Amino acid sequence: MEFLTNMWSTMGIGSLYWGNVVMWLIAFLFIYLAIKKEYEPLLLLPIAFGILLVNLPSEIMTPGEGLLWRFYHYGEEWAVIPPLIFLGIGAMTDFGPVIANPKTLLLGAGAQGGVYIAFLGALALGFSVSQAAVVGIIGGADGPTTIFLASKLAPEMMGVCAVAAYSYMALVPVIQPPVMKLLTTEEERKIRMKSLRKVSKLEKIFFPIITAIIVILIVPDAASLMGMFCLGNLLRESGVADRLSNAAQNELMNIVTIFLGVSVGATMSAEVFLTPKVIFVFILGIVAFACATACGVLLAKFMNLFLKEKINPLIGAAGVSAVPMAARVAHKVGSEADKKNYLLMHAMGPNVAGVIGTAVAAGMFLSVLK
Amino acid sequence: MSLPLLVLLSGITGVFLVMIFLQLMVTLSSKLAIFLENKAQSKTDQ
Repeated sequence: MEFLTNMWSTMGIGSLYWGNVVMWLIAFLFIYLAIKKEYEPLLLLPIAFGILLVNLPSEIMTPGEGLLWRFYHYGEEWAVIPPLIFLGIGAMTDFGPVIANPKTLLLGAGAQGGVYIAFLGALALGFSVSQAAVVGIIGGADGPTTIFLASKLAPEMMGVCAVAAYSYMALVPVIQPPVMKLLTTEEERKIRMKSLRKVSKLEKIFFPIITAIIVILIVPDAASLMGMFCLGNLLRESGVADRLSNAAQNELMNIVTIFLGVSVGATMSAEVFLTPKVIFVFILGIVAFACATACGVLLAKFMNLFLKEKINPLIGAAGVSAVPMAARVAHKVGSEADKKNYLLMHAMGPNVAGVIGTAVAAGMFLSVLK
Repeated sequence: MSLPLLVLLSGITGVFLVMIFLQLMVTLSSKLAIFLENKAQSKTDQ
């Protein structure tokens, strides 16, 4: 009998409670969505497994001891992994459409309106100012930036906000089209834009250098994200560092994605996740996303009042930084109105500008609140 | 000014300020790049 008692005490089964089982179910749901529905599987799968691991009885997230705690502490609390992801994103991004049509940078700024609407909503629902900033940044549809800001301002919100951001990024084709159609007429959706001019190699080399200088001079707190982003892009465009560019795009990106996903998932223990505030975060997240889409479209319509060559307002919706999904959605909605209207490359301009816009918005939050 | 209002106003202003400056500088740098490339091209042609 004593043997059985001893054996029971060494097992973890006794320390389980209903909340852990609920979290397992959430982890299973995410695994299902990742594998069966292919919703952001590269991130959702490690996040789901992190959720499962942290809700099993172990010391895996014990401060100073647990493996996942070390990934979390050195990767995210020290804000190392999000800038490394930005290095990879920079190396993957072609800024040609922005350089060819710099007006689209403003659309990347306009779509950040959703961030501030959600920020106000979160304040109204009783979140602290720092927590509201992290909830608001979900509207930028940029996972690494959300994690970066959460690590600095509200680490307790990191897991849920990251999951909300990545979930809504996967749901761009569902969330955006109704908002886009509601705010535009059939005629506006049919507006055709001139083909973009060819951008030279030297222009592409200048872009990351100038962007780094301008952004960091105005918003120093965005330096780690934008510095890495621009370095990645310079590696790509220089044409002399292909090995580094490829490593940043592939091996490095893949490795940090594993660490990021599993350690973000590991922040979602039942005690932290199963609170009423989590529901508010998901509601505010979708509000932020819809408002960001609306702000981008409305800014494009506003710009059309002053422009000789009209822009299709649908590309304003691509100002959220879910690259390239939001641009594809703008193109798809445009082609539903006019089959021969090819908006994809035009929408890539605001789309990549949105990445810069969200990082700048995060930097502005940090500069006031840190 | 209350903190939330300060965050809101500085955020919106900052984002638009960056993008306006960036738009300006990208336009200028494109002109410079095209000028330099044309100059290099004409030297090669000579």
